[in-house]
Amino acid sequence: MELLILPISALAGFLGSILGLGGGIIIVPALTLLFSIDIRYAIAASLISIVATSSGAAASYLKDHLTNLRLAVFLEVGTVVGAVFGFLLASYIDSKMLYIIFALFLFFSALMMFRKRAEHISFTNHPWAEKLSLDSAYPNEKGELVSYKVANVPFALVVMFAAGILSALLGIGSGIFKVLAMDGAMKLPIKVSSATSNFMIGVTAAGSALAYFLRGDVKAEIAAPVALGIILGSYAGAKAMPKIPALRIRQIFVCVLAIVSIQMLLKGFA
Amino acid sequence: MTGKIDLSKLELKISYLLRFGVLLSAIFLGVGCINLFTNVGALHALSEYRPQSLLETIEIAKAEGNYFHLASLFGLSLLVALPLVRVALTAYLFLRNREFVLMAMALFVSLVLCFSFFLGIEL
Repeated sequence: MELLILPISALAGFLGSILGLGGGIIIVPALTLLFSIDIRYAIAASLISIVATSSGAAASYLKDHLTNLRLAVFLEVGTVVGAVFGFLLASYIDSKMLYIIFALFLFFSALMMFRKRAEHISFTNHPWAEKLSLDSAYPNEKGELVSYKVANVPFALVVMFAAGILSALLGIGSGIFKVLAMDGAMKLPIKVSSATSNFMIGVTAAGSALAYFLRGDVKAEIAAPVALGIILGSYAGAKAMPKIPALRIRQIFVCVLAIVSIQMLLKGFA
Repeated sequence: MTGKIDLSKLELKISYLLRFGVLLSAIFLGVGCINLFTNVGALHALSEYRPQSLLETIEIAKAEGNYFHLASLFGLSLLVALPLVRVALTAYLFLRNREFVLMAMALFVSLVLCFSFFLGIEL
């Protein structure tokens, strides 16, 4: 039975790396429902899974020029400030209503993404993107370099700030909001959005993971096989991603969005 | 133009360093997993929450001579350190490229992460 942790984690790592999300959506339910692990240990293991997904894929994405390093650092400023702000707000806000509002928002985003068949790439840079050289190029499925520009930079920074607040208030990974903001507002190719989000989520999760680790909530008995499975899965995901058609990634992302919105609705009405 | 070429070379170096870190951590985690897969029912003990700090866990593993457990813990600590090293290297990369605004942003992110950790804020 224990051996099952490895393939489940590998699947979470594979999906997480191609979608730019942590593996928490798979890891937490699997550990609590299949292995009857206490939720606190499961959450600690899921934080490790985010770090492992991010680290496992980061090397390949950097090498393949899918991660936009400049953009990742720029947007991370909004996320970490938002997360600190969200932490300070947490005791004053009833998160139940937020769960319902954002479940509906994610569901609406899933619908919008489902309707969007092709990449909507911007042909002009926002002045901030021009100043910080945020535009770049990425290899498409055929291995050809495709240039892209970066639009709506201030709006995306505000969305990242909001994503940081929400992840602190709702206890969810902010990867989903990051990918949505980069894909929808900044009009980046979905692969660049996923890879850049992948880079960012590991950085944000590492602080919390370290706190849980020192507190002793990261149990090696669970976290070690989870991390190992995730590393293997995310490495395979990062290798496969350049060859997967962008439309397929978008379709998988829509399914995950729908699942997360249902999970959030259930929490909101619980 | 020269700046961009330097950046991609440094990016490549960072990616190799990351790959080495992940591989090293995976080796230690793999060794640690032997303990789990040879010790059937090890997960049952985790169905109930029992607070135990990392230092206590290490002391117990040392006393029991459980080197597999110690290897897992080392692999996990290496893994957790990697993203923080990544941001620090990114700041260095921007410094080398004389992109001081982005370097300042990378340092700011590292500082907020450090402060949040010491203040007990979970991001």
